[in-house]
Amino acid sequence: MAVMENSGLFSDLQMPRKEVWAVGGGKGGTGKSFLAANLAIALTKMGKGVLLVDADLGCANLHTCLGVSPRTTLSDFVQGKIKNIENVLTRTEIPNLALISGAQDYLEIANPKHSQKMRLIRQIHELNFEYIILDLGAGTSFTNLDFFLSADTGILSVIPEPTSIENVYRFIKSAFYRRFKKIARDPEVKEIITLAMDEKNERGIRTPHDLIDQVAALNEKAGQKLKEAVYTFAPKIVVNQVRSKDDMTLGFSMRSSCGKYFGIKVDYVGYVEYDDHVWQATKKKRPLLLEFPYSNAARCLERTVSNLIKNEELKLNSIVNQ
Amino acid sequence: MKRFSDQNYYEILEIPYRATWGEIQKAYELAKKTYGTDSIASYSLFDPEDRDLIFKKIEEAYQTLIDQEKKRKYDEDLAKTVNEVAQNISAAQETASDPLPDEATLSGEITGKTLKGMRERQGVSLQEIADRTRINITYLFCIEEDNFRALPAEVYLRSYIYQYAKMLHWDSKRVLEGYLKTYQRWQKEKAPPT
Repeated sequence: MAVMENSGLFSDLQMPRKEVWAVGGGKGGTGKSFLAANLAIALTKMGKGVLLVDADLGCANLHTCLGVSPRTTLSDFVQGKIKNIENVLTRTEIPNLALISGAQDYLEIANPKHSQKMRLIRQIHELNFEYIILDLGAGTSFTNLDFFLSADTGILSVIPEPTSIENVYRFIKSAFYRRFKKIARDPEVKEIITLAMDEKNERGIRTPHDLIDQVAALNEKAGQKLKEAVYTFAPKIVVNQVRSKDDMTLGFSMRSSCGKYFGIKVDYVGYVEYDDHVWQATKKKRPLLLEFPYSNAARCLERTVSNLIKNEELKLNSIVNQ
Repeated sequence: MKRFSDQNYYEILEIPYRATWGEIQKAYELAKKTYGTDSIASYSLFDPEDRDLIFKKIEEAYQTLIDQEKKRKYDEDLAKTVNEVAQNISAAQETASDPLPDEATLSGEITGKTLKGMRERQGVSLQEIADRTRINITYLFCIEEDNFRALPAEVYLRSYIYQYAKMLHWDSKRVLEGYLKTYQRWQKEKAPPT
């Protein structure tokens, strides 16, 4: 490593240094903003320069989690009042952490035009930070899905409840099929994909496997492309509000189900224990990692960040043997 | 990407081919929990018949793999099937695919497609390699697809190819040299020297 730093021999062989993470998951109240804010802070504690973006265009409240009141927000940018996205950055009291606050005032901003949205995503990606973390809103709107798909790492926040799990699967399915649709060129293939989104479709497509088979029968090359897309779509799961060992292993069960149903590899990167400190910190409008850095939940978050950075996942052994 | 109905016992239990008794046991416990009737993790993706089917297959897989004698027999059969498939593929390739250009054969180039064929013949999944080497599966996939554009810088690529070959018990040095030849030819073609 020392050689690499000193000699500059490999200076032209650098890996991309910027990483964009998106935190989504469908349902509201599953800890997306909590997770995004605390993952960001954990990264700054490791000395990384981090930008946190409140991409919840309809119901932004990340600034409250951080206890700041921003003067400018994304709506100023989307509406064109501010031309350069750098001027929307808000400093926070946390060293190395900047915030782009979401729109709070204009409701129509929640559904920006496609071109506006793509411009927004592009400009955010061009900002110069080591880590950019996007906190997505609830639901499977195209805006949420496009933000999610734009990220290098998609993180899904889930709590151990049937409704939350159902929504995460729905989110994965929507994101997955949207990705397929963006890849497909053939209008007939696009049509099949649209059809497949409806679970009771007339072609009898029940799973992504069925879809790929039907696409491949129509257009072999397109089928191959979709297959490749399956291999490269690998969201991460974080289970929040964990109260039992069964809750802890939920991530493994979800990983298995996604593998068998979608054919994708989902990484289970961490869980966060249910902890009263989270509730106390939230009431104080303070991020958990600053208010209670030694709490159980904070330790869980730090472990999760470490797994995300190293591209590792939890091991079944580490939980079963506890 | 395989349908669960096409998965072999190892894939059904999501364990490596060299899994220990303990690993099989734990994987079985988890699988039962995941696809049991009370599970909250699988009901919304699979209908009850599918869950029953998966559950049955899990039971079958477990009963076979924990029994040493049954496991030995199953592994033998599996190896046979893998070999047959591999032979069919290579036979089909010999008749159907274009012959390699002479120059490429002589210069000892190895392409990702060749690596993929060899790997598949050994019955090792790309996922297994990704899990063991900790190399991002996207990169492994791009290596096998000769998608040079998407590959990381050469220093990293070298290490990836080396680990990949090593995991499959191949001559890592030769594989690396061969693949780099292909890679470097692509680089030259991409940007001709001025």
